[in-house]
Amino acid sequence: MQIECEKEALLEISQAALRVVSPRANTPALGGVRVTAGEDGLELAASDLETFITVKGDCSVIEEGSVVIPGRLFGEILRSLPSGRVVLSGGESGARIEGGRAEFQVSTFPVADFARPPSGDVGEPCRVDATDLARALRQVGRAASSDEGRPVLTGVLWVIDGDTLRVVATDSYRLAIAEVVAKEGPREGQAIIPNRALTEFGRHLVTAGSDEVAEIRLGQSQAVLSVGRVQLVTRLIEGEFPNWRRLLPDVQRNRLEVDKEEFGAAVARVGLVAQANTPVKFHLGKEVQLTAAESGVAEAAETVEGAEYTGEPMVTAFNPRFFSDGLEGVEGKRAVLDLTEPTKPATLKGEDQPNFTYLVMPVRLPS
Amino acid sequence: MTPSDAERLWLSPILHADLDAFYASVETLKDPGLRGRPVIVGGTSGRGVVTSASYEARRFGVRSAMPTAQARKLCPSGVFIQPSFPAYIAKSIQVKEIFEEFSVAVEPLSLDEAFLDLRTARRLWSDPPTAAEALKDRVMRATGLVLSVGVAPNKFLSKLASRMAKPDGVLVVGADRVDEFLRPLPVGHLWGVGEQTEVVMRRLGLRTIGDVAACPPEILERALGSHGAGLAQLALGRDDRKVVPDQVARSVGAEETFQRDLSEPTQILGALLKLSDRVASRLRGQGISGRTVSLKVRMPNFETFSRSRTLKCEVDGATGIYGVARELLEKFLESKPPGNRKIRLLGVSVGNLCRWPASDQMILDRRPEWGAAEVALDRVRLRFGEDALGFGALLEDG
Repeated sequence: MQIECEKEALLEISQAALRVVSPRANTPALGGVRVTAGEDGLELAASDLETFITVKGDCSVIEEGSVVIPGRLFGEILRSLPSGRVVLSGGESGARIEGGRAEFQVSTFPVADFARPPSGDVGEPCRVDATDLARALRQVGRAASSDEGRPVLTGVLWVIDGDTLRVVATDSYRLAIAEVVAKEGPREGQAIIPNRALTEFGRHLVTAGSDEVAEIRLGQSQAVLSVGRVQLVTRLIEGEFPNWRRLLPDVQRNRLEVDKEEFGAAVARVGLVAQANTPVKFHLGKEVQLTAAESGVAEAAETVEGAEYTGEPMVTAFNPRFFSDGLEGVEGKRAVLDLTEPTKPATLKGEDQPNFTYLVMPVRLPS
Repeated sequence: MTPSDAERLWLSPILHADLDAFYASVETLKDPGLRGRPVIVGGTSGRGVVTSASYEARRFGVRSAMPTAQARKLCPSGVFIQPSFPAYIAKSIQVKEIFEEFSVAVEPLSLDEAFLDLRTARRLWSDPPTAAEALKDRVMRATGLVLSVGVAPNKFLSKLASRMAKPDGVLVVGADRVDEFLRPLPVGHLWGVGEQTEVVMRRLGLRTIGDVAACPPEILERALGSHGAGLAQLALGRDDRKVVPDQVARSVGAEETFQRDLSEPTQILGALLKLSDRVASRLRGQGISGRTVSLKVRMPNFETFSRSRTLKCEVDGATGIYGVARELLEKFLESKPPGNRKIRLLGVSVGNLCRWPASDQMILDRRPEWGAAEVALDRVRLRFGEDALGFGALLEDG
């Protein structure tokens, strides 16, 4: 194969592929990037066994074919080259990269050894607005767990329910639910997709144009996610996701309404004195006050302006990080926190914003 | 005891724990035939000195650092033994582990003595004197060694107190009794006063610590330089040096080798819960928590496996620790053929320690009552002993 293209363009798509390459690949070919020149231009592919990504790009194809190049080295070479034209050529016996006055010879891996995407029937795509999906994934991503001990929680649950696509994540301390409109496609379906793959997919959603559409295909054991010229095929996480509907409180009698930015800043300020995972107390009554203390080291208190509380006076407490993660998901100026009692989950939402719900468990205060 | 009594006792939270005639005692434990005889451990060659002497030998005037030849003259019936350090080190480690059960702040001074700051363990002990007695008792039962303990407001005073508590005693210096305790003692008892300094002090007419305390600090400073200023503080019973652990304990754990290998799931899980509970109790007693739960499993053929998981939030509760340990164990056992699931030893430990209690972050979809219940459990155990209360599931086998 042989191609010719602009360095910047090749670098950009190669970086997207390289982010997926397994850092601990145990067969050399898995640490590689497959470069394919075909009728419809250039395609780069990479895999970490869980996720298989392909990114398409433009180039002039001089000779069709594929090579598998060691990924990290390929990335470093491209970064180091001067701007301008790059020529990549090669086959099973090796590849040659030329740019400016530099020239690299790199040995390649057999194309046949390269990872294959998870296969299986995935059916019709569900089409959603890319920007909207980017928003939803950003809102729930932080609530997903990174604890491999409970694999189900390291994923995000996708539920297609009529014309709504819902994404749900929880690490058992908080639960985030975001919705987007499913424009076309199947009216039902469900899958748990690894959050790591979604983080990568999210990057491409964010850079997509405002009128672009993302396509989601949910299969039995894998999902295919596409936007623009990027396609991710990822295996699904098996297991039963917690019954999130049952966790949502029915009636919550107490309500705190706040200015999102101001309240978020106050939580962050007061939270400065709280050691990792120690709580910020919410004193809710006529006045709304936040306090935190690191015993014997520091204390902080702040009465929050513009916070309105209606309901029974109470003191409750939250891990400031968990609370802030939820608040950041709120769009618009005002946020609403509904509470039942200090030991029950609180629900955080944006005012008049039905497509995002964030349930957060309080920290129990010593009696 | 009224709360104010307890508060007053907590003004003396520093322990100096010192094993009595350590090397000689270890030798006696190795060879019980030596019990009651004057045992002298030291270099037995011509220029050797005594490193440790049993109290029986001390009655003949034998002292540490005395030339062995002189000790032989004083105590011809003595049993003279060359020191064997591996045995002393092994015992010393055992004792230090016991110290660490009592406090996270343990500063060893040598193989046979250490400072403990009990303030990190306020939830575990009603007061320091009680802890000191329990420590002494625990060391005796676990190792057969006699410990003397000084309990005082600071390091200097507690070290003096343990010296005066010997042999086989506990001496408490209350914060309001410091002067009374200190003033009559000879100046040689002050930390850092050797022969040279003693000569200078005698010239100034200072014989007791009380004399030093009454002496204007300028005079001491003129005679002894900056050393004098420090001595003036000590003479007043003031010492603000902290107990500095040589290294922070990396983990808190408990393990058990079963008398018969366990294969019944209920027995195995029961044992796991018991161990989790023991670890949790120790963590909470010291007011600390950790983020990594580790499981150790030894099979009948002595193959030993470890599995661990790191959590997002610290834990210090039995249910939290048990939940993780159980998942680790179940996953481990699944990887073994059904015929090979007998267990000889189980261990649970919590690492990645933090110097604060776990915040009681509640969990969606789980019973929330346990955290508070476990704190109540600690209180009952403090008053009535380890076995007073436990989890319902633990009672099945006993």
